[in-house]
Amino acid sequence: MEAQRFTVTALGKNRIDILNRITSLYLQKNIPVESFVLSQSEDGDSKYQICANTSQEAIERIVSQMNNIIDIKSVQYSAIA
Amino acid sequence: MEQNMVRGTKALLLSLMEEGVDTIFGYPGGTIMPLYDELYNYTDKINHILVRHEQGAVHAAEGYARTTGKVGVCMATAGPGATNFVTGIADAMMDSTPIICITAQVNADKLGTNFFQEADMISITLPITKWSYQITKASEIPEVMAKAFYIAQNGKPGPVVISIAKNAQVEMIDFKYDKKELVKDIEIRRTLAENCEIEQAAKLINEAKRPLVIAGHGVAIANAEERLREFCEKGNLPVAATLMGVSVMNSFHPNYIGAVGMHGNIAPNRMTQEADVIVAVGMRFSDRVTGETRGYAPKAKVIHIEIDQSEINKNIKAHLPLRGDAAEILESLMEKIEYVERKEWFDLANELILEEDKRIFNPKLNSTEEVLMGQVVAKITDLTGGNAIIVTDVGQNQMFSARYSKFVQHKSFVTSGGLGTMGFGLPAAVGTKVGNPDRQVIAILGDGGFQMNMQELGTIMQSGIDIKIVLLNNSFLGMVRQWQELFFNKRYAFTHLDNPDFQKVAQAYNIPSGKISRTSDIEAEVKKMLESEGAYFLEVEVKEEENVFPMIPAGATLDEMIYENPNK
Ligand SMILES: Cc1ncc(C[n+]2csc(CCOP(=O)(O)OP(=O)(O)O)c2C)c(N)n1
Repeated sequence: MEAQRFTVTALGKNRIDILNRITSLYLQKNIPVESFVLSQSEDGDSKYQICANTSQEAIERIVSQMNNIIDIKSVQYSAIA
Repeated sequence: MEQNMVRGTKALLLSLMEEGVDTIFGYPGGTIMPLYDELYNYTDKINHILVRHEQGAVHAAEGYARTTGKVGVCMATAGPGATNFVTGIADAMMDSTPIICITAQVNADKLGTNFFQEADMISITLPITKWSYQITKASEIPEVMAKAFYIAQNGKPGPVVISIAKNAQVEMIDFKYDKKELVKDIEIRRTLAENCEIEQAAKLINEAKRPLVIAGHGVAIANAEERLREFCEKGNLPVAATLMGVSVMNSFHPNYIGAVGMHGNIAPNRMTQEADVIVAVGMRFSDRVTGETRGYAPKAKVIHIEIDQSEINKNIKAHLPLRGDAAEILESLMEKIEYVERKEWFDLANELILEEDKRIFNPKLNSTEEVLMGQVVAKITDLTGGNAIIVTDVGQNQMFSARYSKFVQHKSFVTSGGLGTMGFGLPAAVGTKVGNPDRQVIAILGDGGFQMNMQELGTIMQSGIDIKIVLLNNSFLGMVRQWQELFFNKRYAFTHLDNPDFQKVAQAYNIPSGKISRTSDIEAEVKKMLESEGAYFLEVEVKEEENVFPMIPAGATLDEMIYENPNK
């Protein structure tokens, strides 16, 4: 499958393990992360934004696994043109 | 409000007791000494089983959890104690087994200093845990433990690691445990298939001419075994199991047609390829089930009943995913499905079952030459009436156990499926027996896997664990040797084992033993074992170069099943 740049955005609680659980999904599949932005929203939640160059198939798998991380509330992804 | 000031260690044990824990498998050490000291006050309430290696504690907790439906608990000290847990945790993750692994950690203010016996257990186990938490303050204990138990069991179960710093063990806290309050903001998103999806599924099933239900471990996890039986009876549907699903259906049920997969039965594997509708219940289409996915179930529409959204469409595309708890979904499906005759389809099943009897089972069972693994397993099933719990190791012993044993009770086949962990069998049998003191528990092991956790004979001796150990000794790493024979020109690279005198090993642990070397010994020796009181060790000298057939070779499709060595 053709590689493309994808941004994944996850919203979740501010928990210390989530950052590593997310990056470990990329590491597991050998996908280099190009950028990772973690920011805090006003309601105390955290926003995790990860950008990587990979296939649609791989990103869908990552998103579905991310959805299983405890204390992550929602995950979305988009392809960057 | 009245205060209830207790030490961290006591808070931890009280939390466990609030969760109904009465058994812990563990091994002490420096950093966890405060907790062990506290445990010594509760020997009337908590049964601590002292294992001989921490890996054994995790597998024991797994055996306990899988057969009781409760959470298995194990504990170990920091550093090497904790890292010895790793294989077991990975096994529990793969096989969705709810366990809580408590490991000690150095003082919070020493974290990250390479303190004596510091190992970063949270990072080490990150990808093989459903959740983990490092407790650095005693005040966190109630909430974290409540959350740990909730997460381990809810949704798709899995292992949770709790690393507790030494200072948190000895600090004082005001202990309160209001479970509901403590877990109120955890979200395990629950989904339940919509009514219209259920209708659609029922319609597909009712219209199907060649439907096949494939039941996995999820059926056992959801305690949906009876629902499954009613469902397949009401709709008149043939049912197959995955390896992890063996024993979710009574093996003698007329609708049960055997197990699918690499060493599965002929009928369900061939019928997968012919089916027009597959109803997959609590299974994940592992590569060991599907073979090469491109050729899998080419004619079927797949209805996938699954609680874990990440499993849907992962390996096999689901035409109709039904997300949620297997018991609830089967229940609502049941209302809408109808009895359909499907005579030809069941005739095909019976024909294929007979074919396997003729081609594989009968010749093996009737052979009077060297002892074959299946002969012993079949005799055990015979003499226990299918009522025993069979715990296997990994390799040929595992496949012959699955193929030749029969079950009339649920949650009675315990095996390492996803990770295929050699060394699993003996300690898992210990935990299984502790959780099921009234049932006959039989460990069936290979000589390779037995020696990977053989030290647990010490646990069996000390704790008086009444299990029957059947060692199928072929002096080979049999399953690897089989692949060498079939696919590597019979080059037996490092798969032959020079073994110790296993009779003497058993004797050293005061475990009575017997030995089978000829087929004519089988019946009497198995009987003697089953009638013995307490632990028993039965060594079977089996044929060295026996192969498990049929087989779907790695990378082949289910249509390319082989029945004998293709190079012969
Ligand atoms: C811990 C571990 N190491 C290696 C393997 C690879 N492996 C799978 S089956 C097998 C052979 C098992 O031999 P044995 O325990 O004697 O059982 P048999 O196949 O002869 O019944 C090996 C080495 C494994 N599954 N697990």
